[in-house]
Amino acid sequence: MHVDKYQLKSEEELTRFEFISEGLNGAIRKLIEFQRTTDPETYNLAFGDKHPATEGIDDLAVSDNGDTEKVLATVVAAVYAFFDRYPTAYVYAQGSTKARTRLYRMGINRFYADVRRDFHLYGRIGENFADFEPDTEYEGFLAQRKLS
Amino acid sequence: MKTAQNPTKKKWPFVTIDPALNEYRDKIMFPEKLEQANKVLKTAKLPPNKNRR
Repeated sequence: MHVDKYQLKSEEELTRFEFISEGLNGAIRKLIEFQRTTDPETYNLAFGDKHPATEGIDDLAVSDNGDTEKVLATVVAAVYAFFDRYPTAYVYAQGSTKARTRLYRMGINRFYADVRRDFHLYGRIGENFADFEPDTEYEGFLAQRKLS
Repeated sequence: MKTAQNPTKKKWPFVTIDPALNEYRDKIMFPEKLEQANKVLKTAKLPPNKNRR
């Protein structure tokens, strides 16, 4: 994946990542969280702006910082690093809104050549996961690293 | 003061391990997202695990 991305910081278990988006609206701290779910094999990917005051992250924030592609490339890079540590895990991702879920799909499509080479990728419609198709609208996404 | 370290794996040069972030390891920074995922996973049919040995 030869796309410009931000330098990531992570804690030692590679489940929490942080980076700083630098763009039109200045520097914005971003947090990526791989959350353990009730399914022992599945982690949930949460991503958003980190508020300095509350220390909370906001998945609904629209930073409009003019660096969407670089931000998406950075999130994808974090996913690769996570799977390097947890190669048999599933990662689930769903936006907080339909628009945000479409943004996730846009990110997948942007890096689809690499993603489909390296991951088993599924899209969710209702209760069912099917093999991901770039032109299909989904409610969520599920990825698993392809192991050789 | 703890400072950022170089990544232990040269494979990921864009990731720096920063012990200062360890405080977030067990925190759920966005509980609504986790709740949303758990609700989905409760009923969704996951595809067969192709990596299970």
